[in-house]
Amino acid sequence: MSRLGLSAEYGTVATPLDEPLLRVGGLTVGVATGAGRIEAVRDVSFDLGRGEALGLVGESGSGKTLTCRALLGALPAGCSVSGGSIELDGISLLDLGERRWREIRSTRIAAVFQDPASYLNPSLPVGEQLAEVLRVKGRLNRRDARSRALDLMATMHLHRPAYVYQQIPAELSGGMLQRVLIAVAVACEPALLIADEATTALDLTTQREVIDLLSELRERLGLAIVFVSHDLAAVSELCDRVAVFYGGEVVEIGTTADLVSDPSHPYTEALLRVGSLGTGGDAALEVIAGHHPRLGELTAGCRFAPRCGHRRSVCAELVALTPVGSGAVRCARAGELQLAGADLR
Amino acid sequence: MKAVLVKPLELIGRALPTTYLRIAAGIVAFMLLVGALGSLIAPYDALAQDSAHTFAGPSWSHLMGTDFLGRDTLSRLIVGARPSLFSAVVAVVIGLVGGAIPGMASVLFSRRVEFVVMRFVDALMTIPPIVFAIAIVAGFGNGLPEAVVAIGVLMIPRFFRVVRAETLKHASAQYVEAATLFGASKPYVLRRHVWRKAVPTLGVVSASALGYAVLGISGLAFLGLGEIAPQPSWGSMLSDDLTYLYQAPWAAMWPGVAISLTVWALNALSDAAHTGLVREAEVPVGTESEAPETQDVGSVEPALQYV
Repeated sequence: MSRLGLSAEYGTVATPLDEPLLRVGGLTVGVATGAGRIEAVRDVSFDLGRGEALGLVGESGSGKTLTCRALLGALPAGCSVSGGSIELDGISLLDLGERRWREIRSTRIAAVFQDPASYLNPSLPVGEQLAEVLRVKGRLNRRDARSRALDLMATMHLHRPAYVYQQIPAELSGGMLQRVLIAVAVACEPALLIADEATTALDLTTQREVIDLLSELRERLGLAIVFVSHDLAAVSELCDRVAVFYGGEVVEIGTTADLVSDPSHPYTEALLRVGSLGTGGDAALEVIAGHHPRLGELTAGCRFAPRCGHRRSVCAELVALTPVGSGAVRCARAGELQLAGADLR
Repeated sequence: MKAVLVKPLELIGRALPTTYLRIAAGIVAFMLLVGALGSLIAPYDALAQDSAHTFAGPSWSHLMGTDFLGRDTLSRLIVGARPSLFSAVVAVVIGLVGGAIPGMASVLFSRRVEFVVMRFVDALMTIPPIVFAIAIVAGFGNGLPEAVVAIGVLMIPRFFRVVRAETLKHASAQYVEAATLFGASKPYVLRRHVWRKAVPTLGVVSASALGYAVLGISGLAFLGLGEIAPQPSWGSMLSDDLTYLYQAPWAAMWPGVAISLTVWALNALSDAAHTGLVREAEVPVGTESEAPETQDVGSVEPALQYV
């Protein structure tokens, strides 16, 4: 799998190919607050195969980013994993020490973020920062790292790589910076890329280009992608499967096609109705009544219940994620509800 | 030849935009040059006594007059520049190395080690310089090296604190976090990304510390600590001249002017550099340039405030 010509140096895959690359089981992340510990992410489970793309969608504060941070072993201060498991290639990421994490980063797991400008050193040429990863993590010498960096930049469809190489971040556009950052992330051919709102800050055309680039890399490198966005349209373009987050829980997970055309959770339905996937036209912009629960407001039962039109007394009880069709849903009334989907464009 | 000269001159002109700063830089350069050349350019032997011409006023043969032993004041000022200025430079280097490196490393310490180190530095800050210098001299003997070490050690806390603050400030930048997420070790990130950010601030602090060091070294010399008589230094000359203020009231002016001009010039340069830094900081760089935050993290933050 040496499409970038580097793989040989990074060891081989530890588990058989039919095993999922990433296994998240019952992941719970606690946040220390003035009022004690609150579970900001509760019981999140999903599998991700090699070369597969999973979308995480949900409103702000629904736990998408905290989940990503947990996957990267970089939770913000005050947050910690209080339960569950994360396994990458059969290795439990939760038990890794600082040193083992360092070995895995870039070579097995890498990430890109929303605001590329602030994730690059403003005073160093971008090419040098890319070459730096190749030197330090890829153990290339200075000259090889430079030529590999130029190759990578060409792979990212950056025009005139040699010119861009010596520019500092302030001289590049957001889309170009995101390409550079993606190049940095995939430089050492990781198996898993976590793209946390990687396209959110970009304008629509650039967003599309970056998504195209990601699916191209996915194909060429066999890269598995966890793609976080609050934009279902963007997610449906790139991802085979989608996990919908609400209040720190996965409320529904399934293949993109099934989930969009035939949602099983009222929240997914509401999201489809208000989101950019709806039939749109000149209808007034719809919103979901109420607001997403803040950390202190999380309820014991179904967390969407207070805003849900299909609420019944059963909704006050804790619901588990139960398999439905190709996916799973966390709704006590999932079987009985008739929910409307949307058309995939 | 001219073309070669124009560019450096232009650069200096740009770095020192006002006459005020050019004068200050000129004074510092002049004093350093005098210190470097020392006895080479002194018109007389700085130690040669002439009992027939004590307390002489300024004249063509002795431009600044003579002191109580008939020694030429100008020569003593010139020769005294080296122990007064260069020893201050050495003291600043001691403070810089002893403060900046541990200061940057301190962000890597565990909480307990950090506590101990911080309290040690705090303790160092509470020591009165004169008392500390007297203690050093009492312990190790009187001499210029002892005085320089005393001043240098007392500079450590200032450098430590400044570098630590800068390091903490820049270590929280997102690209520093990104470097960690791409698998760089913390010491590597500090060396590669954070260190260079602290350099401009270090420059400012060094310049002002140099002013303090000149004052401190001269202050100790005034008390008889440091360069040993009859070797001249500005502080000890001032002290001698004050003893004979009735005989030669103008004499104390010369070393006084030399000390205050140098300190003023250094402070002016340090102030200007600081102003430049502040102005540059207004243009968003690094941490300040954050565009909209990731919304998910934003909603966690209110909770984190209580942590």
